[in-house]
Amino acid sequence: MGVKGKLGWTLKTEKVSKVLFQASYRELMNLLMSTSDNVNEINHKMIDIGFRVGETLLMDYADKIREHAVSFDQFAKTLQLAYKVNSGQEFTSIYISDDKKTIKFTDADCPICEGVVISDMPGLQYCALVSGVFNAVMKLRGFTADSFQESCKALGDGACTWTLILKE
Amino acid sequence: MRLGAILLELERVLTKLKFDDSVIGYALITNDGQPFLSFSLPDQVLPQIKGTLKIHREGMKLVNIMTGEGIVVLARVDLKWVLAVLFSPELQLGTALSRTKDVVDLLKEVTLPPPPVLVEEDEPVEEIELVDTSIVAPPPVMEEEELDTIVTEEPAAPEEVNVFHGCVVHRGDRYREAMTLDSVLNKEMKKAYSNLGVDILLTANEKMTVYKIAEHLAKPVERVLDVVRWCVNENIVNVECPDEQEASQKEIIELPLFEGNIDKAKKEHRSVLQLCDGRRTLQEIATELGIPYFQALQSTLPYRGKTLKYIRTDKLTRS
Repeated sequence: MGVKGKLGWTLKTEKVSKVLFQASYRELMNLLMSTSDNVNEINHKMIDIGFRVGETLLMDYADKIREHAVSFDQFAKTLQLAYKVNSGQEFTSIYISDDKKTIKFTDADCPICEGVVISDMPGLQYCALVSGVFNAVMKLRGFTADSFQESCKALGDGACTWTLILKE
Repeated sequence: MRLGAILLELERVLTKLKFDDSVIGYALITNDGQPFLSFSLPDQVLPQIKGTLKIHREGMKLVNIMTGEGIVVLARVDLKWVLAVLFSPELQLGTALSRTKDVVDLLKEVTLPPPPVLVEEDEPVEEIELVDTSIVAPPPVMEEEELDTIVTEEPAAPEEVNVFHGCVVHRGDRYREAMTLDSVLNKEMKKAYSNLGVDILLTANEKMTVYKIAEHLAKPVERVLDVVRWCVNENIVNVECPDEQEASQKEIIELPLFEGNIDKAKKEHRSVLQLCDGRRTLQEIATELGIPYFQALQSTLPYRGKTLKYIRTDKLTRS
């Protein structure tokens, strides 16, 4: 029996310094900005990076997750757990549409965007890495889903929202 | 008429209501009870508002209505506009009236745009016992012929235009036409999306993305996307999507911002802290003062995380 909950987070989960993570992420973004022609390209590159990160995470966690999600909407729970394990906090809210084909994850306090204020690139998805991770989980678990970042706190929105839409 | 500027002004005034906990919703409404720029005002209270407006007409200045949802206060802003505010039932009537009046006083200083065109009303006006049928003639601002005209043209079926939530909405060639009362285009837009279309066009300020407009109007992004796609097809607006937004020459950098009381800071730190205005880097501050970087850094250390924070923002790369 593994250690769960707060104790699990304190004792078992490996952590990295937030300052180190945020600074690395920011410089990764700076590199993308200087090597891309437009904002869309940055978003796509960041989602691609997130995809690869997601592959690694899924490999790492596949044997630790006890109950794997079976239907699309059950990923709301799986991804909540994954987010908690990797960020130390939960989504502020999760919305599942009535037809269970759209899931929106919202964090009003996204650690990637913390303290970042971007005024000049309206379509930038600063923390789109998370969408990329979701993409990987969907694809590797055999679901065809669109994943994109709908709002972003770094761009002045109220919260960060990552949307998953099931395609059939 | 600079609608954008008017809207900003309106927004500034109406924010007072938005952040008032006792306010459930509000709307600017026309004399015949058409809501406009509405913020979570439930539809259920509209028939009562319409009924009351019909009774009082232009003579009305400040009136309250008790509804199932709470207290609605109606206050006249000018000849064509009335402000309706729904307060929670717990609030004292006197307070509700005076809060509404405060906002209306501010609103009177704003030049409001003319009301949008009327659409055919099929909603029954709730009868209120005092209704005198002899005065139910339409108020003068109504475009009466509107009611008889049957709009036969079907709104163009929205084609697949690649409009995304991150696209910035700009005014297009037919923006003015769409905002002109009576125009065929305006009627079509109304028919397809009722007031949401006009609200979106008013809100779009050349800077906001589709998402930001939706957030601002408290409407689902998907609905706003539908309207914007339709407007793009009709050439009312055009969009600047992320694939057209330039990215090069930008860099996210950290800028110190001091928000504390400078008099409470140590004397030897003040010269540095004074320049920590969130617009220059620490290196720039050091250069400006002619001191080594490390000395500037040490002047900020005692305040870091307390009254001094770093904001990370995109700046043009100095080349």
